[in-house]
Amino acid sequence: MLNFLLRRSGVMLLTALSLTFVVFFLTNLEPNLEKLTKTEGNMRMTDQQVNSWLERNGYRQPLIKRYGEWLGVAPGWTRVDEDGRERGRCVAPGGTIAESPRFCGVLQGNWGQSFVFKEPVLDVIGRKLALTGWLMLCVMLVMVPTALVLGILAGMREGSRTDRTLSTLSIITTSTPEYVSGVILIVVFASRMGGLRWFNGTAASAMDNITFWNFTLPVMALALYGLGYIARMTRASMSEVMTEQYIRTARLKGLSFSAVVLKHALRNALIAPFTVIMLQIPWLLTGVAIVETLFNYKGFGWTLVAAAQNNDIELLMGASVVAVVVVLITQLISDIGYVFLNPRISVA
Amino acid sequence: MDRLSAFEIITGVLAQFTPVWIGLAVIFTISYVYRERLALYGKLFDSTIGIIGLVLVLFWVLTALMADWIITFDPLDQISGMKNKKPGWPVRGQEGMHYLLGGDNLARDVFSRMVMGSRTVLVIAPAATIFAFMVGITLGLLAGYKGGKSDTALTFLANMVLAFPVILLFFLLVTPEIRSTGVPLYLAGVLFLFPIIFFLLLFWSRFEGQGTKLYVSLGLTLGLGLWAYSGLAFNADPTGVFYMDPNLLNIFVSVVFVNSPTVFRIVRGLTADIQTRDYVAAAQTRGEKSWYILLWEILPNARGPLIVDFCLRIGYTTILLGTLGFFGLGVSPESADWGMTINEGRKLLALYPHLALPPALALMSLVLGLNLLADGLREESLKD
Amino acid sequence: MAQSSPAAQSPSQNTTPVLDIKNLSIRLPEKADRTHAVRNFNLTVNRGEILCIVGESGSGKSVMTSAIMNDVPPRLGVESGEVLFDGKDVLHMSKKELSDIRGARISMIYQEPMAALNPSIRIGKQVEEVFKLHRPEIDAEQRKRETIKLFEQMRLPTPERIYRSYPHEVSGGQSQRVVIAMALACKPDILIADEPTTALDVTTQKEILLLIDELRDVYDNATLFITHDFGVVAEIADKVAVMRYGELVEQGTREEVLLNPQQDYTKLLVDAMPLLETVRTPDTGRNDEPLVEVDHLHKIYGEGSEKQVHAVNDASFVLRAGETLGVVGESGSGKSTLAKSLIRLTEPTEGAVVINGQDFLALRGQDLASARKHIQMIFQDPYGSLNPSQKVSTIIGRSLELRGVPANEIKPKTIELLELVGLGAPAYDRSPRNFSGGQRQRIGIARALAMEPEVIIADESVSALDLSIQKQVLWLMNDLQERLKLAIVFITHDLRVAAQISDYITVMEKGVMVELGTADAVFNNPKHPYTKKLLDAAPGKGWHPPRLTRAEAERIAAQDPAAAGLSKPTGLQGTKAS
Repeated sequence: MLNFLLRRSGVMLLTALSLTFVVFFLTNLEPNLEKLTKTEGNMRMTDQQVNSWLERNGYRQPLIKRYGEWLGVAPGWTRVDEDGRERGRCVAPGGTIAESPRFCGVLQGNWGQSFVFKEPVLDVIGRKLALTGWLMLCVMLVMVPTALVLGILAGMREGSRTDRTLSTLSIITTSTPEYVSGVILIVVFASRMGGLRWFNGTAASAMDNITFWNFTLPVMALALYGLGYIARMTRASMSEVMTEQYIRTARLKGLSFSAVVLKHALRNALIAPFTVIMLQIPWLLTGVAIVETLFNYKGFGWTLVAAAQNNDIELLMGASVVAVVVVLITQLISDIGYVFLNPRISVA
Repeated sequence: MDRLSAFEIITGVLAQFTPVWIGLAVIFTISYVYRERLALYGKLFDSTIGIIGLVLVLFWVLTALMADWIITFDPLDQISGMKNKKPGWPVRGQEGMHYLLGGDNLARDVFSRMVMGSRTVLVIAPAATIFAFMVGITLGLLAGYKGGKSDTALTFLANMVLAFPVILLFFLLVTPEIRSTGVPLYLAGVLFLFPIIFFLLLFWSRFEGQGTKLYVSLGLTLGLGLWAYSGLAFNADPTGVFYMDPNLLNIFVSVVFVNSPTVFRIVRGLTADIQTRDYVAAAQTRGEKSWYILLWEILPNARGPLIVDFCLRIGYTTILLGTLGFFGLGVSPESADWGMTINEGRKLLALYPHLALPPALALMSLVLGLNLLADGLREESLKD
Repeated sequence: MAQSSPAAQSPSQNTTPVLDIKNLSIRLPEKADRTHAVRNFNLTVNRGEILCIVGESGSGKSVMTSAIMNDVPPRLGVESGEVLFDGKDVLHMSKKELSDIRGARISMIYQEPMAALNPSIRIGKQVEEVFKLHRPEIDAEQRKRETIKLFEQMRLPTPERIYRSYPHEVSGGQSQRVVIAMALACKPDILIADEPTTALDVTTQKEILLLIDELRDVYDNATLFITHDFGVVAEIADKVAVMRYGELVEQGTREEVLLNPQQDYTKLLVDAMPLLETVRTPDTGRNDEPLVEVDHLHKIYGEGSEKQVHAVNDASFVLRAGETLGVVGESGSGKSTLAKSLIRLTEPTEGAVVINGQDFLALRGQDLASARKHIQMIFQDPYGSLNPSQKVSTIIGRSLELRGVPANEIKPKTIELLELVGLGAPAYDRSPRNFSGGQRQRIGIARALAMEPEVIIADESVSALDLSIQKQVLWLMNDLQERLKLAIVFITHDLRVAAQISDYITVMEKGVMVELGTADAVFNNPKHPYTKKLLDAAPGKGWHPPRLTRAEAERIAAQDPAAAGLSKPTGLQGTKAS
């Protein structure tokens, strides 16, 4: 088990490094740097001026070196200007090179400064993650139990009327991406046209105070899309298990149908959906971005979109790191959970 | 002139789709008569779900094909006084003409834009899915069959792309700035090679040693393939037949890139499973080459799950395109792309829901059709 | 129809039958090849007796037994009839009554013991569940004691360990004992055994058969034993009922049915029962060039000293044209690995395989590809060995194409091959799914022959077939061998099958060829204790059911065209007479 964990973690680390490097490469493409320079300086800078600004601020070093600096494994660049001012990646304005630390990257907790929010990236991300955390929590609480129950009810008796109805419902929700379900929900429950106006069409107020009225619609929009998918997985797994010989054994032992389902089918049927649920979390990220934008809930997804649209490189890098790490950790949990749920698999 | 009632709007819309209804009737009559001979497609008629799905999908395919006859106004025309007008609003100065589903915030006809929007989706989504399948199948077969280092490397790469949050990838890849760096071009250069490689391998493995057949098939593949390749990837087709708008190329490449690893994983799994069958061993013992076994013994038997996934994936790609549009990364600002229309409409959702609702429902019904179709196909293919 | 005489072995004096099936009919779904799975079926079973239900695949025997516990699959339906258990109709019981009976008074054991146990629940818990349900009065501690006691009674080694294990941690034979323990936990009146030994090795089969026989005396229950193998019938039955197309063909005592069958169909089945008698005597004095020479062949799986499995350990033999070597062994003995190593589906670790004077193992690339045509294989699973997406014309024609046969000759040659294996031109354009298991196996043989090989490896090629079909395919292979002078390496777990076709026999145990000799020597004068054990475990040993004469077989074929395929009056019998 330990060996397996080590190996998996190794692969994870490698993936994380490769992915962040790709993001680093893509965010630091020439046009982005140019845009950055002009927002820092002024819009009418000549190409030459742009170039020299980039030169002076360490952007003209080899990409791999800069990635190392950003990560905190390569020493930050330093420079003494013509006027004798000492500057560098790790040098605070007015500080000296000698006093400053040599390394200052992600590993040292230095995630840079956000242009848009005018504060350290780490603070922005921390705050936004908390907001999104609440949203995800509610979504999971609604989505997972509903999906599992629907899937099990449908898969319990394959081909029955319940099965057909529930399966069709699941297909409908998987065909409704968040931006469609969001629009429909708002129109029906929060607009004049729908006439119901039960809920708020925006979740902006939920950032301070989550209520049933301002949070229901975004949670529903997010949960619906994933719900059908998990329910279908559960159904497939359940109906397969129900045809197994050991289910017949249990039935012919004299167990009632409900006991057969609860004691013998359930655990085996939940192994496959577990993996799906865990892998759903990173997949939800796109949905989160959509829903947060649609409902104006300024959480992590919204921040990612804002950072990308405003060329806020440091913030985008920070958000990417978080996103990638979340994805990889859920994958690891899904692997480990699979092993624990399934006694047949022993990890050598 | 009065505004149309709800009933008149509905009949009006249904009447506009007359060519589609006729098309559907013809297709279904013919298919039903010959269903015995149509293999899996014919068996679909035994599945209610599958038929509903097929109707929905065909509806949009026919709509896209005949969009010019269905629209009531030019989807780009702005008619003064029609801004954000409600469904069924009469058009001033044009007797008897109405904006069936109202006008958008630039005073364009919502109905015509929705109809035209189907074209964008129904061209890009299937095409991108086909390319993703070519990449995924070629690499998946290789990795699943050979195992070893190439498998480890490819699987690592695929997992890496899969671990990449889709939304982030889109924001990084589908920006106007990135075009000047040539990244999409390189990606296209690699990804678009796969169909050519695939067909070369397909014919070579089958006709090796059979002289003329081999040369003709390889020659045709190379000729046609490279011609299209030069045009699509590098816009260097001298005849100008094959051409792709740079922004479209950008989106296209990103969608193919996102979809390929999933196809790769599916094919790899299927290959690893099917290659344990005895007929593969039989092919090995008569001295077949690897690629013959992969493409002519294994791949045909993976077709069931692949066809099902193909339908699902077109649906997923449609959703992805919508997502892109939703974030303002759509095909082009003035196109009637569904995702972009939803994006424009969402800002006024509480006041004018008729802007975003039609494209949203259109997109949903197409994806639903594809998913139902996939479900019907899966059900029927399992019956064998 | 022969009536059952009072069974001499029956220890019970109880005269009223514990189970009485009257006029049972069970429908099949609409598109099936016949209307009923079971039709007008009558059967009575008494305490203390073992009744074997014999039938080939599709005879309806499993569906019939599912009705006894009112567990007929939902897509089928009981049309009429009664299943009286102790005088009460099981088919009309309430859910509560059914639950009380199932597992307590009627219980069942299955063909795949591994599949019958829930993979995610410990074995002890699964057995205890029966006590919890049917004997709620006993407490947890006592439940465990009773379970362990049952395990001991089933002669499971280390009952405490098994109690704590998950199903995947015990062997097939052990899990069958667990399933039997579970079935007998409440001392049922009826035990239904659905092919309980078919998936097990012969030696394990023997032990399980002994156990069931013994337990019948202890519990005085009625046992309904379903099987397709008359050898097993000979070992265990008191009475026998033969089924075909869902109907009862014949019933009687073991001796009556096996030694003096009345109905033609029964005669054919009994005739197809393989015996442990050798048929061929090879010419041991031949000194022409051997076709196959295997020299000190090894195959080791895995790396590192601990995980290594020596699947084939020092195999050597020679085989000449027209000879068959039977390779016999239980699962895991390395016989299939030997086959795969010979044909290089897996690369041997060490040793030499010389085919036709050419070192087969040294070949690479194009040389290997062209040398492969000398040695071909016939596979076990008739369903998995033909590509379902290809037509018969492609399956066979591709081999011809590879061999460089001109395009215009491929079709006639393919049809010629199809005729050679008894299928003929109509098969040419059809796809494998239109054929039965036996016919598919013939296509597989035609595919192998299309390469014009000198050596054929048959890996359990008849194991998946019904006995009567098995016999036909063996005949065919025998004929072809005589005509084409093939050398055949015939791999099987069944000594009785090996006896019918082999000149030489080798017995493998844990990768080692423990015995190699002429068929006659191995069967009649075994040297190695393992060979003796295998021979001893072969079911039906010592029984000599009547063999049909050519004239009888022809008469039956004329009267029962459906069974005609069973009675091809040439082949092995002719060989046997010589």
